[in-house]
Amino acid sequence: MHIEPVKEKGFYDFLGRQVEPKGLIGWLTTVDHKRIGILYAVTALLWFLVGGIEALAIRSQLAVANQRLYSAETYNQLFTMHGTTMIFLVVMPLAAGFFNYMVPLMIGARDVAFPRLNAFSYWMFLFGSLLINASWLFNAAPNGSWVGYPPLSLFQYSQGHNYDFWLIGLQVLGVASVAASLNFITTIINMRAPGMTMMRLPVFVWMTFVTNFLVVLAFPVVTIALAELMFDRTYATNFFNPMKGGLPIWWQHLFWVFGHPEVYILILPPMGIVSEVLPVFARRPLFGYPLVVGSGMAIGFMGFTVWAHHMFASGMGNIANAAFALTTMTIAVPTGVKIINWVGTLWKGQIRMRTPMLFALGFIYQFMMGGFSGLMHANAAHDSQQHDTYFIVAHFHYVLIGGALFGLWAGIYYWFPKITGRMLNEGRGHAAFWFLFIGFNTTFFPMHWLGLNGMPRRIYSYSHAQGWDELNFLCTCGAFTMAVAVLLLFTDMFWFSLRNGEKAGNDPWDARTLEWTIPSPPPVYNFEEIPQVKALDDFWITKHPELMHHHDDEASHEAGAGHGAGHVHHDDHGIHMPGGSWMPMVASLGFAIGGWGLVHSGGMYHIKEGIQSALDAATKAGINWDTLVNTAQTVVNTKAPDAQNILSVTSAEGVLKLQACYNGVKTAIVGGVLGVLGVFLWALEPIGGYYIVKEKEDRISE
Amino acid sequence: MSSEVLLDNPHEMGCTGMPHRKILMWTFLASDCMFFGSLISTYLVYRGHSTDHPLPEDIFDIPLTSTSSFVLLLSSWLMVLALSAIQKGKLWEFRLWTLGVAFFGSIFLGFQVYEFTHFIHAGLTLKQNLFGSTFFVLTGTHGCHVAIGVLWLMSLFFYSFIGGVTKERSLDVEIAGLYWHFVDIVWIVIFTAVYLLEYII
Amino acid sequence: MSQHASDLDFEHDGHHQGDGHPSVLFYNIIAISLFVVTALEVGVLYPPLNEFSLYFKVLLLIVLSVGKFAIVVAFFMHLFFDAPLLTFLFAIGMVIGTGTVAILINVMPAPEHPLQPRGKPAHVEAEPPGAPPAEHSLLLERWRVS
Repeated sequence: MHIEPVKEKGFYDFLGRQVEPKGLIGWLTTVDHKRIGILYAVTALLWFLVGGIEALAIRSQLAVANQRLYSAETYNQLFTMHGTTMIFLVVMPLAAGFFNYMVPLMIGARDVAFPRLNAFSYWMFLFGSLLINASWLFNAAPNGSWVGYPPLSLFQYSQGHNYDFWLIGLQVLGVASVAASLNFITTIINMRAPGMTMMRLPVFVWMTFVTNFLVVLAFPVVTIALAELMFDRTYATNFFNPMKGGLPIWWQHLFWVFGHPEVYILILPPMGIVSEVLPVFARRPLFGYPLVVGSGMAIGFMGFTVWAHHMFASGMGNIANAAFALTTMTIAVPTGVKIINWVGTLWKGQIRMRTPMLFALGFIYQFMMGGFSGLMHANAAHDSQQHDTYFIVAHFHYVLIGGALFGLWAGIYYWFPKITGRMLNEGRGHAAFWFLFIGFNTTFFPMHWLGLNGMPRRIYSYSHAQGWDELNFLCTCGAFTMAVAVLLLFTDMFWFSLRNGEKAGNDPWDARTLEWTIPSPPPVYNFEEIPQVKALDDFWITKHPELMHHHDDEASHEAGAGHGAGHVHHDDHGIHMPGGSWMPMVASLGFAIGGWGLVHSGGMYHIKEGIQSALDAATKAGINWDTLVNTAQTVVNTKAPDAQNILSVTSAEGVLKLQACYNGVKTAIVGGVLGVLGVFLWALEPIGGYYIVKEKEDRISE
Repeated sequence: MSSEVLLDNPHEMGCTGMPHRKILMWTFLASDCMFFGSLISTYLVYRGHSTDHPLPEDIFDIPLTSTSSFVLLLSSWLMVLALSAIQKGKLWEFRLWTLGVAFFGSIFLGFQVYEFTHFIHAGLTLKQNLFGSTFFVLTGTHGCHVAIGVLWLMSLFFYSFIGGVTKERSLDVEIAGLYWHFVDIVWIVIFTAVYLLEYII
Repeated sequence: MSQHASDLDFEHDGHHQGDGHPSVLFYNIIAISLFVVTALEVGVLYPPLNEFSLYFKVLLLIVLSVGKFAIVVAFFMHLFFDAPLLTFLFAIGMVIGTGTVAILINVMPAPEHPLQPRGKPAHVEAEPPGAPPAEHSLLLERWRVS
């Protein structure tokens, strides 16, 4: 086997893409879906530690009554960033890591449809997450909860850059998510191996597909909402300004039109993982595959019809409340169908209690608990009692930790051997499961009672008289128990098993899907020969014909997509691999710098309005802007008004702030230009890359 | 860049027999429906909520906006002609029509700049009232889309002189065309929902 | 009808009319009909507005602009000639998008005291409560369920 670079001809040789880059540059310029998947997952796990520390800080503050560990302002920042981090920087990108690594392997492709766009998504995500967390360095972390309701988040009530960081950070993360989703939709539609019809796709791929549609359709709405709020803060528009007739409730609508599909974006990928894990460890094919797929699609579609159940307490009127209560309760039906199917898969199975299975079973039980409490506040009348109490906190942690996180951990234990070639330790895995399971239920089950006893969400402290002491202390104990589980997983994953774990081999779990047919870790080209798929669970049928008797080749007569000519026509040259590229990183760096500038222009017109009289006086006196800024600097330093009495100390501070805003705008322009330049160079880049050519005598595998 | 490399490129076509980029573009347009849907619904929801003048009826100029709508339609027409030309390999015709699209796109932008200036002189600014906020952000976002389209088409125009646009690569033009037509249909909706309906309900 | 455009551009689904993209003449006819529809749309504004013509005009405008939209998408954007998959992809966005917009407009409260345009006579605002709403917001009031 040898490598043959693609010969570039002509004009743009200077832009030539890296041929099989190695080392650090290899990681920075990578367009390999496997490396990008690892980058996503590792970044997400690091943010998981940060979000977890924030959670522990919150629980420590609430451990006993009248606690004052840190200020209420810090507390606000902590719970806001905890929510934002866990949703946008942990669960979504960790799922994206699995999409990246597993989807091309599961559909029998060599990469995603747009490898450089994929790298761009990752770098946008990384820079967006750094941008939003950079707020800590300025003591300006977002502080009005992850939903950012105006008027609290308007400039009039939040004059620091707290919400500017949040708005722009989420905007950048949104671009990353949408770009990645467009890429995966195209990949799943268009890069399936021959014979891999839609109804032979593994359920995880199906759930990825549905999730990515949700991202593509829900994120534009929040993009608009964030842009409107940003305009309100920076350019003094009136979208949410009640003084000018704006309606803060409009933010809630737009946010939840996005926000509800978002919770399915978080939960559908773990549902897919669980649907992969259960059949493997129950030694039975997934019960009712078409129903599981169909209910996933139904959940995705109905996710767009239920958003206002987050707003039952906002006075929308009885008709709207009733309608949204109805749609919300209906969505429990497809969810229930899935649970029935998972239980049906376990029924009469030969269950092997390996770690991924434990987490998958934990998922089913806890997600069901979260679903039941969800049904309780799907009832609008009931919800008016529970809204904004700890009951809600309990509910969404049951679905997001008990559901999403358990599912993702099942995925980590299940696919770690494929990604690294080594098994995670079973003993430590079991211990981690029990610590997480017990810790989780100890933390969040009592919150149901606390909520029904009236403990409000986001409360900083409480007194003995309220009678919440014991349960809160219990919750905190549970939180630290969960931390032990996280420590166990992380040390095992990044240290013990990574170095000394048992060698995995191609197929340690005796699994069903295509990724297990190739070596662990997979070679850069994934499949030496693109596989031909003949049935659902093809690999299993090949290995265990006796297990699959009722199931054979049900989908072979399906019309439509399937037999691709696109993949297999390059055997004469060997396998074409795309070369690395700097452009995705350059473009996303440009946009991130632009975002940084926009953050610092936050509040510009409001500040200008505040010092308008001083500016007018300065214009009248013929003082230009630069002189005014210098004067303002002196005034602020000496704490006395200037000689001509144009600037008071307050207005001098305003002038300096305005100058900072103008600098922000300049940075934004520079960043934007760099970003667009990056995109242009990216478009002009030649195909490049290299061919992996196999010699007659040596086969590439093993 | 030689066309052999491109035709060899396994990353171009997929198992449904359609190029990846076409699928990506249509999915992106579906996503853009939600994007403009949110903006247009913001405008419609806030109709009548303004607490200060000027209101739309005080300042809208239907003949002017109708003219710019015609201009955008005209550019859409030239866009299909450009695509049709390059698909037949008529490079010069393609260049002519593409330049025409970009030209009329710029005329549309010129109308918009004129309209915005006129409105600002009439006292309508971003922060004057809700009408100003919603109107400028909606039509401004659409204008940005048009500007990106003009930039894109001009890039294709110049690219055609160094051999980047050929009959074999007409997909590049088709994708740009899809984007351009989408910008046009968004304007069809905005023109009706924002301008015309204003005079009736 | 033109011959097949390019090697990259082949299509598998037997769903198209003819063998590829339509002729220039066809595009010209489409473009002219779009111009005519747009002229009609603007023309709709000019006949006098009253209780009866109000509904008719609104309906006509919506039909005309939806028609224009459909023509551009189907013919200029080739959706009519292309694979049904692309129609499906775009339809997902259109259906969820229009549905969401419709619901949003209906659940948001209507303005309680809409400001009158400058051109309107002052007595419109001074009408006693209970009088029918001003012409300006006649349909708006019925349209929105609050």
